[in-house]
Amino acid sequence: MAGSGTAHLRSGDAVLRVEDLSVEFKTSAGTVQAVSSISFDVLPGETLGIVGESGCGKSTTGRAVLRLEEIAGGTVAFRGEDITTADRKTLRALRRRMQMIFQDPVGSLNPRRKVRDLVTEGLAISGAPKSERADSAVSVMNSVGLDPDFFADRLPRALSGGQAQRVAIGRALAMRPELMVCDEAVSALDVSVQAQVINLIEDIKQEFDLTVIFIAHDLGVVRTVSDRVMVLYLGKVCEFGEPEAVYASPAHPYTRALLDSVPQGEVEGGFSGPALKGDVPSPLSPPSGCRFRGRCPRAESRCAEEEPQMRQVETGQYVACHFPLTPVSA
Amino acid sequence: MNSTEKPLLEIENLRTYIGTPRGTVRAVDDVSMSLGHGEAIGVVGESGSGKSVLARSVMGLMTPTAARSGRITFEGRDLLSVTNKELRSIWGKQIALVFQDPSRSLNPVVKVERQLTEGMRHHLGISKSEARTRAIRLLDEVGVPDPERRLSNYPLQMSGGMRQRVMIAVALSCEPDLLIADEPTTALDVTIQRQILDLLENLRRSRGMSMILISHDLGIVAGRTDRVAVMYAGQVMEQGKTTEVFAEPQHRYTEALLASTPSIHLPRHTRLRVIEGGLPDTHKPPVGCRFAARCGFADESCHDPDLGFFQVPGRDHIHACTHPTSAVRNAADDQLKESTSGR
Repeated sequence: MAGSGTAHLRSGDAVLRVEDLSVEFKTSAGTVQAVSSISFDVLPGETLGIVGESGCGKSTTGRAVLRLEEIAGGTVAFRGEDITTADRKTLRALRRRMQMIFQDPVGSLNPRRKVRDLVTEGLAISGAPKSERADSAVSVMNSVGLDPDFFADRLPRALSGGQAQRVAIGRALAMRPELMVCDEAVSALDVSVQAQVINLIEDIKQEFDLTVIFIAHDLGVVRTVSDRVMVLYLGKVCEFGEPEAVYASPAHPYTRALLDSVPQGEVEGGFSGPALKGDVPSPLSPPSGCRFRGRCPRAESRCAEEEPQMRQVETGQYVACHFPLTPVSA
Repeated sequence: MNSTEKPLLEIENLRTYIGTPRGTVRAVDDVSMSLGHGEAIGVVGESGSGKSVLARSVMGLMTPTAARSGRITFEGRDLLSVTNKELRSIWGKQIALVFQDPSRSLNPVVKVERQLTEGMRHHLGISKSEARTRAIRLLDEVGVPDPERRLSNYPLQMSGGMRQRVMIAVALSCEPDLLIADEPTTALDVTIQRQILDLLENLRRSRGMSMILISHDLGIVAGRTDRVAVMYAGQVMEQGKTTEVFAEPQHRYTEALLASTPSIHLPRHTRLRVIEGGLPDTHKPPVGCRFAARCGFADESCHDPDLGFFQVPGRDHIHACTHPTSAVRNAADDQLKESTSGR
């Protein structure tokens, strides 16, 4: 589906609590709701994996968490503080505690600055004295596995993709954030390097007590890093739950189709299930009701009339579907 | 492949060296492989492995500073010595190429109809109206809905998946014997990627076409090819029946690559296997095994300059590892002669 609802939100002290978040983009052809009434929360020390295909709103969601996109509706509360209404000064202070890692590691670094200055850019902006920055640069470079003696004076163009991503992670770490948003942070890397960066993110998460939002299109990557997984489709949430449950017994037909589309060498024919038909509809005029219904093998007339709400299914995860693949719990 | 039948394509000791301001890059360095009629071979490797340059070398589509040596025989013809005129009659008609990015390989200011019919009219000498009829049939075959209307579309009016279908239709239009697909689905979402892979598979079977499928994604190649070659730093590390190579990788590089790929079946927070370090300098590659510097099993024997291939007994499966995962082998007997296998 792709629906709304907040049944999957947990009680307790979430680092981040997002309710009914909507983000709109105005285009010459009309307004696109890139993110439409999405809710989720992330508990301390948890990694939330957000997965979906192009146009599902996963990156927009990540950016909206730092208010890097204008928020059209809903609330984003970081440690209980609503960032959607925060003034500039508060927002700046809050953003220091939330850091973001982007997909293109080399492109997100200033080509004219040395690694030692890049990793402390945030500290410099926040007015930290030079001596503190120098110490921090060395310790941060060590944390991300870059030998300071070798890398401190290098420029981004002399770095490989994996090394540049380490610098980007180091730069975020230098701010001692509580929440780190990784937007396709390993997608541009070769598998062997990708594994290095994934392991690094896991290490620093422990070492620095981080909470992580990990946005990726690669279902394998999301499975390995996440404590909770959220599947998005065309700006709506389909499913939310623990990775074991979501991957082993997906409740949403879209999640099932996504998993069946992952090439698997050990399976005869390469895939474990049938292919999904059709293409993602235009976000300018999304289908009524469930946005996935046009491609869904289980869709019925109700799916066009009524938007599904998040409900818990017996396997413990939450799904926004009128006809889920696992029964709804009583 | 039937051993009595002549292969469709035979690559022997191919070297493609590219001149750059910083010296010569040995992009493809002594690669041999052969492809039978109707067979699909996968070429996998990370960036810098030489897999794309290999594809372009077969087509003769390298940068001007590149030089090829060795031998590429296609249907009995030596592709390294054909004239440009002959090459033009091979391109599209006998060997066709599908690239990664359909938005860059289709001309953005030309309608789909002309991009589809141009090659057919040139190679097959058919009339405009017949080419149009064939174009509609082709679009239908590759799963483009409403093909007649799509003919008057410009590429930008279509989604990425549709554009890749059009690209495949263009590649198939003159009924090539060999389709080279270079990362054909890398720019696409998984559900669309799945559709395109299914399409390529069905078309290959129905037309009896051979295919070289190049990808960085082991999973894609695993399910869709008969044989596979694993490349690293310009060389083939391991080659054999796809099912066997993935089930029982022999080379330590293949093994490490498989272990570092996150799968949808791994438990939460699994520590991924890491391959430390980076690619060797392709200007001056190390002597012996090029993976040795990153390999936990490497010793002096890996720096032997005459490292050849070993064959897995009784199987169509060769590898260039002196410390294979199944260390049980008879080195003296298995060492293939350099002259027959190359690498």
